[in-house]
Amino acid sequence: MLKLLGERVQSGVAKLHPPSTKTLAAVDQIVTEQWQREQQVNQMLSQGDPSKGQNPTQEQSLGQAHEAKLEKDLSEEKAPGKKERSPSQNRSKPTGQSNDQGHDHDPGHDHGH
Amino acid sequence: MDSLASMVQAYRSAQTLEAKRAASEAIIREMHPRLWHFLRVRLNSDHETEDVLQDTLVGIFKSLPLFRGESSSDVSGFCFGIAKHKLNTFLARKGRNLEDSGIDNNLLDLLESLVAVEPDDPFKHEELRRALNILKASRPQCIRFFELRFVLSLTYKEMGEVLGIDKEDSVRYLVESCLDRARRLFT
Repeated sequence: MLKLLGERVQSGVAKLHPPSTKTLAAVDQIVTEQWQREQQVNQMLSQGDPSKGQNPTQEQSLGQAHEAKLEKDLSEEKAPGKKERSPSQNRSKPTGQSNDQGHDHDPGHDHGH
Repeated sequence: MDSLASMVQAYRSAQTLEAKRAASEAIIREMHPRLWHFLRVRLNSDHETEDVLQDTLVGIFKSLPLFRGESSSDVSGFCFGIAKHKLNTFLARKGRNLEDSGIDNNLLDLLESLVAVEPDDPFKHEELRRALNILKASRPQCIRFFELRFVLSLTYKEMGEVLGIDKEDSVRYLVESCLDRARRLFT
């Protein structure tokens, strides 16, 4: 009985209060922007990597190159006459690996939970 | 009709802008009436409802790429969570709270008007009248539980999120108690 009421309410609202043009336009703008971003990301991925998607070999080599650079920096810094940096300072240097794959981290987003 | 979960899946995996738009429209068609009702009961006018609902839908689609839920219930809970957040933000900005909106009277008035939208066969009409009478005779707290559970079709888990109750079983117990009371009143 109460469920019947629920069904009636939903069909009544759909009939009497459809989404406004303004609301549909606002959502459409978001959908279009998201689509464009997705296309840009796909394009960047396919340009950077012919096989599309993540390339573990490339990431690995980047990581190795970065590690080698860090070691070099560290040995230079430890050389006499140079001030030693804290490990956290060393860690805060750019890694060359990014985990941002073009996701839209909109500051205004809601998680809803 | 497709489930909400498959609509979201279609949205995520759309290969063309047209397909993405079509999936977004399907999600809106499915969620709009329920969200509209949820907000209208808690706000003072259709105009306010439209504003908060627009914010809600925009918030939903902005957050969809980060949403990891799989089931229709996950999606529905996610959408109502955003609606609740937008509603609270709106009310706080206006210096109001939920009780100021006369939520229980709003709900009953709205249900009355929606039940009268189209003529029913006499049996259905009688059933709807009885359902309304159950709500009218119920405690305010029970009216809200019935609204969330039966009118908006929320699961106990989703209801818990909207009501700020952690345990699903607690919500189930509260709803069952209200139903027992309603049965006793109407038998």
